[in-house]
Amino acid sequence: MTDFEKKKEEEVKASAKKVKEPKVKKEKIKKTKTPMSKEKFMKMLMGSKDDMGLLKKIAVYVILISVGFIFLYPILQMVATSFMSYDDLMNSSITWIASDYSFENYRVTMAKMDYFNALLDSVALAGLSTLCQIVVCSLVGYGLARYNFKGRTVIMLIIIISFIIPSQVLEIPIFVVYSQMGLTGTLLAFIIPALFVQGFKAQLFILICWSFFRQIPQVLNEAASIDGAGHIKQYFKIAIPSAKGALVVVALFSFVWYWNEDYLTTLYLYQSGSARGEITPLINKLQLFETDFSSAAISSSYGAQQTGVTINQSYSMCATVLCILPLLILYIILQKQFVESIDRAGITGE
Amino acid sequence: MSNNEDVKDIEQTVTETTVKADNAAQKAADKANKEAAKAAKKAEKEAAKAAKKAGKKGEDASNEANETDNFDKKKKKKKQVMTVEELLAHKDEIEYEDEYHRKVKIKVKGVKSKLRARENRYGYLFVSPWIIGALAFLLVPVVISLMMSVSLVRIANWDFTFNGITNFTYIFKQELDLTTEFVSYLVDMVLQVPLIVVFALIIAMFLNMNIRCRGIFRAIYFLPVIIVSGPVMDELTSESSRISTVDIEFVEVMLTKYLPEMLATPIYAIFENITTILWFSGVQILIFLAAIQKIDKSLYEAAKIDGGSAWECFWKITIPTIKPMIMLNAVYTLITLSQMSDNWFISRITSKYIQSQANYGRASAFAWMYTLVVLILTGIVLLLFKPKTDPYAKQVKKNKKFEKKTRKQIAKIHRRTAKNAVKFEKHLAKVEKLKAQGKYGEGGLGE
Repeated sequence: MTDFEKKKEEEVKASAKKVKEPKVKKEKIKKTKTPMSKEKFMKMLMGSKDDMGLLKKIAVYVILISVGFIFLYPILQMVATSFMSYDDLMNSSITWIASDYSFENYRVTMAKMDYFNALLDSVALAGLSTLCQIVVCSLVGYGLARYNFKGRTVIMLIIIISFIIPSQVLEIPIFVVYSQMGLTGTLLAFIIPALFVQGFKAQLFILICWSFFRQIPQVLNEAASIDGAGHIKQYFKIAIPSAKGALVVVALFSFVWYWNEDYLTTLYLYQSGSARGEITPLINKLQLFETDFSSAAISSSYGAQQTGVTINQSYSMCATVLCILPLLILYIILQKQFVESIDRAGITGE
Repeated sequence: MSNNEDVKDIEQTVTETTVKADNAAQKAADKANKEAAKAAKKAEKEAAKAAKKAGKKGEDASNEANETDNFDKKKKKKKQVMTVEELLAHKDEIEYEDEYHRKVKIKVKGVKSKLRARENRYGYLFVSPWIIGALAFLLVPVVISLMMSVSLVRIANWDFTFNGITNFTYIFKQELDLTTEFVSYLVDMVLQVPLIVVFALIIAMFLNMNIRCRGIFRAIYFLPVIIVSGPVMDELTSESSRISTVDIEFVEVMLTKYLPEMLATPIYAIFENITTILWFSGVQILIFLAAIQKIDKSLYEAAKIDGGSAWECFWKITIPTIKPMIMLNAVYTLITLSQMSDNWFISRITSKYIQSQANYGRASAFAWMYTLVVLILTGIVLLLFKPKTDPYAKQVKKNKKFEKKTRKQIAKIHRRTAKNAVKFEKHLAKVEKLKAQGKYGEGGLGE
């Protein structure tokens, strides 16, 4: 891919040079009047068939940058607001830069959110489930891609259909069964379905793995089997190394989606009606941040005369930033592999 | 390579059909008391015909042969070496009067499938977790949920009492906001899904261009995939939030001036939440980008040589090629938007029916109704993108049907001629006999 593009670029450059050369001679002849011929100028602006013109390029960059800004705007604004004190919030002239930067807001928010416990819960929940998802989805995807057994198409069809059915339909009975078995409030409620390929959006991950494994030439497997590798060994030695990109995509998506899943966690772990569960992921902390905050403030004001810290915009923005901060760090680390793996093979199959 | 295979195939079929012919000849000879040399000739002719046909079909079969691996080829070679006796031993499996080449193919396939099947059985091993999961977490819940939706559920002792459609009617009666929320949901979907899909396509086209800092731009545009979730969106869009995108009073004024209110409000809402809507297009951009990169570059080169502009290339090459991906994205967007936890229906189901009322019958009834709506919408999207039936494909199908019909007829005629040949031989034998007895010509043929 990239080699091809480079070659093409070189070709384009070479052709451009060829085109330019005679014109340079012309310029030399009528050097005195116009340093650059009108034709050439127009070509530079509007571009030819092979090369984008300057104007077009500028337009593309402007669009990309401005839309990129729209994408980033809420995050930037969020971070900016989170540093502001109450006075800054009230002052309408301050929009971006707070009057003084301190981590006071973050300190208060962290204390109110019980941040590190919640972080641990979130990491445990998302990490364990993701681990199960990677293992199991790659197994199933490999089975579907490599072997042509009876009923394969039926299985594929069911996988696709089950993606369309809203999960709410299924979650009520599962929830009831779990609460009968006493699994609600524990991480098992998430790990068990993930272990049996019914985790969050597992269908999508199966399809991603399937489309990667399908690109492995069958000859490789045959060669391995002639050399005496069993089916399991073939999976570990051939399939897994050649589908690393897919596994990165699955890992990132799965982790992120488990991290951000608030519906299921509310249902399984955190019942607002009943007593509070022991495991509370960050996302639910964020959901209940305002009520938590105010109730804590009330209880503390009953106890002693404290400086009443009332909720304001910066605190909730702090909470939001804190909630997505681990994901941002993860994304920055994995970003390169993530984008590359999408480039190389595409996550969509066909 | 493939030619060789062709030849092999043809050879193989020829040998086998000649064996058959011999067989037929033997039969006929037995029946005609070894005097009917003509019949044998006829049978041989048939065999030759069959061989010809088989040769033709051999070409077709070679395509399939390409797919079979080395191991199977070896097996085939072995078969070719088979002696006549061995073939005869298999005779109960090869029916003589049936199609010419086909049974040979079936035979070979049978051997192949045994081998393949043994290997492919490992597929079940790999898929087995999914099968267990699908039974436990898909089939059973669906059945229980359906049962719950039509019954009064006492969950403590797992007691379902059938009460018809009471749960459904309860929701229609008690949910006063149902119609307004439903309409606003529909309008949202109709406006947002195309917007997100089109936007994702445009951005994907830009990101696919040969520009600098492509990596950074991609990283920015995929970022929302990481962040988007119900509570975060709530925080960002809540009324107390300071975060809004652009100063849009101007847009509001314009909209209310020139559009009826029915349309103006949702369109204004889109402008208001442009960021949050665009944030949902992360995965879609990914899918489009991957699809666009997979388009064959030579298509564009050919179009360029023929004088096509970039604009034409986009409409005539890119769009038709990624049409399935557009459909996929539309469905994906629809489902994601419908399953977000800040969706009114979803939050209603969770907060009211599951958590505060703990009435699972009503909850599943509501959930099923919502599912039905989503499924219908998905169906509409699929219908919109339904591929037009290709006239060429239609013709091919028609031809195949016709071929099958003719083949059947030929087989019928073939069978009849064989029968007639035997009859004719018998008759000839009779005539010979009569001749030998000296009675020929006295009306023996009249029967």
